[in-house]
Amino acid sequence: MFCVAVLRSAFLPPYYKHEIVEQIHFSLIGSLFIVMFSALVAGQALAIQLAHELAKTGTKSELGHFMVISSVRALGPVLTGIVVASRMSAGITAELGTMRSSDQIDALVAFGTDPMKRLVAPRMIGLWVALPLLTIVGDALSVIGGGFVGLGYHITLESYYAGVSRYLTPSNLMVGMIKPVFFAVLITTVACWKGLTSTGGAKGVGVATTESVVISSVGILVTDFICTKLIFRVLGW
Amino acid sequence: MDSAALAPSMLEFRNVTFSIGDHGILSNVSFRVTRGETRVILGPSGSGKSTILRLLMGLWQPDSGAIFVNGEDITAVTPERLREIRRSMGIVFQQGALFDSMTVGENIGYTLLEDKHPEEEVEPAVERYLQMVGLDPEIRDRMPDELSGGMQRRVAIARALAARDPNIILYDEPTTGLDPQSAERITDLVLHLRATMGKTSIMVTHDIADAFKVGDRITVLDRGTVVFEGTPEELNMAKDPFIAEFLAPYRKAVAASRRRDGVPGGVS
Repeated sequence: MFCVAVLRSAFLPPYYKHEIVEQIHFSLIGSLFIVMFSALVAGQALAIQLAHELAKTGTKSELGHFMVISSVRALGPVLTGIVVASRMSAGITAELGTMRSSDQIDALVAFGTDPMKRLVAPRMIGLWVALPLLTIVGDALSVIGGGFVGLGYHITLESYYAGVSRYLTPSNLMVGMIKPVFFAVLITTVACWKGLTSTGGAKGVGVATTESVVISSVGILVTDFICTKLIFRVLGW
Repeated sequence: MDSAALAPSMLEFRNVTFSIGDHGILSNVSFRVTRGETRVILGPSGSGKSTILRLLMGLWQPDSGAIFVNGEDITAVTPERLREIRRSMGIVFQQGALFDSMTVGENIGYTLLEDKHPEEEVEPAVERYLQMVGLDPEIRDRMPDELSGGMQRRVAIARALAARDPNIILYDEPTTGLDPQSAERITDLVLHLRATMGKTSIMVTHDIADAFKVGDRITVLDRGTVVFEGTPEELNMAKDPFIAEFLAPYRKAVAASRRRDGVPGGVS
């Protein structure tokens, strides 16, 4: 029910444009460095594993292919989702929880403002914009990092990027880009629900924040599994 | 029949009962507040005082009974109508509840900005309301956490006044946690607003001195039920054992003060 209310508030006017821009900035710019760093490191770790295994079978030239499939379709969106979920769900729940415990939410309502419109919708829209963009950045860095790892295994950049470009198809990209849209809904719904319903002062906000991060992170893994199953069924893979 | 009973009521609680889960908060509470009156809801902690304000704002729904604001039962209106009715009321929350991500000016001008008033209208309005509550307009760019508790409450009052010029103001324990001087400034301000603007007010407090100072009429709550309603003078004469016990510390303090000052006689 709350998820439906979140989606309705995000789609229907009025829109708080200033808050939306602020949330896009907070989600996108605030998460950019940590996503870039995580993607680069995780991409290289993945490439080492792949290159090592491929070298055994004499198919090192397929590194680009495997990096695209594993990074763009699977690891990239999940990794970015979990990194952003840790940061954003903690921030959103703590902020809304503190507002709840200090009567600021009631003050908003008392002054005729719908908290769903002013607080929840901008966060939903902010993540809808930020998460796919961050996923693209993360995927790109992960794949680029793989190329540098490949050099250590005597895989030239030319052959690596030939494999990358061959498998960077619209369907592979779409699989990777659909997931962040659902992750954004999950993160916002869980974080806002936990924040708006937190009770028990500072301790209650702390508990709600912890629960929010745990549920969002595990929820991303579950959502990823469901999305992958559905996408494979729809695309007939 | 006294004049208060004949005057048109601005706010009315009619047989209101409210509970959270199995825990009863209010039981069959009834009272009416006339136009321009300052009503004090007095009672010990946990007696359900603040709940009355939240029910009046429509933040919570009663289990049974009716709540009238300007003759309209807010328990039976649509959410849109409730939002409009709320616009006729301003509320000062217990700890101020200022929006901590906004400056003082943005807090006071919040409803004006929400209603899309141009900046050039909001700026002077913020200044005017800051002056009205006795604060220097220079503080408008400061954040709430840079202000003292007393200043935060006064900003909260300014925000409530700026909220579409309400004709009803609700104060939830506005002096709680303040030093005596700041508390006195707040109660003086409440009296000043009544004298100059004729606002109808409800002030919830457990401070008996504040109740006697500010209230035209006082409603005393004990564990969610009304045990007294009348003027401060009538409260002072009340013989009810709960009221006698509740007022005892205040009476002792006043008597001690009078003894020190050499004034004979009882408490009023």
